[in-house]
Amino acid sequence: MSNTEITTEENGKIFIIRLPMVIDATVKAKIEENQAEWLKSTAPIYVFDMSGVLTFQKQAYVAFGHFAQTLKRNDKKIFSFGVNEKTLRQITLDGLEQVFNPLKSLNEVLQKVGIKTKATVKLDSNFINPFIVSTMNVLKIQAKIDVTPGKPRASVPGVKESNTGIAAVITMISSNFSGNISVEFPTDVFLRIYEQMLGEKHDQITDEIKDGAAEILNMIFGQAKTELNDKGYKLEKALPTILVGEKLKIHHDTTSMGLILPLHSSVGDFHLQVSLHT
Amino acid sequence: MFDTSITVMIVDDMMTMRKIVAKSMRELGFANFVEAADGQKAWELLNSTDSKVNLVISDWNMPNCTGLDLLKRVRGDARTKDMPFILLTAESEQAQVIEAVKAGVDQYIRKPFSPDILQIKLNEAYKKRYAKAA
Repeated sequence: MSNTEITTEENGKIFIIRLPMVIDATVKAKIEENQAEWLKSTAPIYVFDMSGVLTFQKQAYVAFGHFAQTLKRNDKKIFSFGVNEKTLRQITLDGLEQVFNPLKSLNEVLQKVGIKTKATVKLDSNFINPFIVSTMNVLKIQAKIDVTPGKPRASVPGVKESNTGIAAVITMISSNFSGNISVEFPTDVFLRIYEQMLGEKHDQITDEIKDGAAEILNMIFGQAKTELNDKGYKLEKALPTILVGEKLKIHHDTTSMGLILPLHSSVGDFHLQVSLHT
Repeated sequence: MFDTSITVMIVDDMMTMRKIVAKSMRELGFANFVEAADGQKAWELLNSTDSKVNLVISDWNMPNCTGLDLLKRVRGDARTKDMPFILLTAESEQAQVIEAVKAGVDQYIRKPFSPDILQIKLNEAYKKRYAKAA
């Protein structure tokens, strides 16, 4: 997450707003600028992901206050999670608990609003294989790239793979579990995939390239979701969010168990990462 | 089969996907395209007086008017009701397919797709639309 970049992620019931390391006048302006667009979502629950926030400048309070009031007027609820101790003390002393409604984790938010029930899903081959197969299928058909799966290994919560340069992430919500699926690429590998998909050579990640990563995950998730829902997993629709940067860090809930699924191709190696919130 | 000189409208909020569709269509010999980033913009273009669009290929999930909503508008207007219309989607759950068929879609393509699949779907859409009119 960059210093000032805000990203959003949405599925049918939850709209997640991921806040950057420093919340200052720039972030205040971005919230004011984007809130009308965010409010177009049909999600009844909005959540600030504050797990990356280190500093919260008071000049930004007013934007959050206005946004919370607007959500309330539209019969929507707001929560936050991942608030560090210093920030939690600060917003509590400044009387802003009801603006942020801070909880420890996304998992707790889901339980609070009655979306999450005790996880009954395992990260087994029944769950994982549709994602692997759909990744192979998507890259074969759309980019004419053959992909072979490597040996899965456990992921370390909160830690990204060191060579990830661009990642597309979807939060999976179901009536019996929640978690994340991401497809993560080294920058040069993704640029080669993009070139094979579209015949265009690029030497850096642009907004258009990010679109490409989102669309790939959209297709992977869409195919896997269809198969998983036929088996009774009840996954809901979700839109991907894109994270980029050399110091990319993908946040997973600290109680997640996860798997990294390495994938090998002629244009380089990349991986899927799947985690379930317990 | 569709004449490859027709004008094709490509509707998708992702520029990459619009490029993928255009690239696949070019491989099939089509060369005239109009693009829109959402259903609302597509509808405005279709209703403009100089619209020459002969076929719509639209994504399903888009902000400001989904592909399904666009399809319903197209089928509900006397000027555009016979427009050949193909929907693209990353998912193909049965309920969704039924909804699209009820709304009058000519063909439904699941992403990812190759130019070969696109050709088959175009031929089926042409047969459905013009065999119906005959």
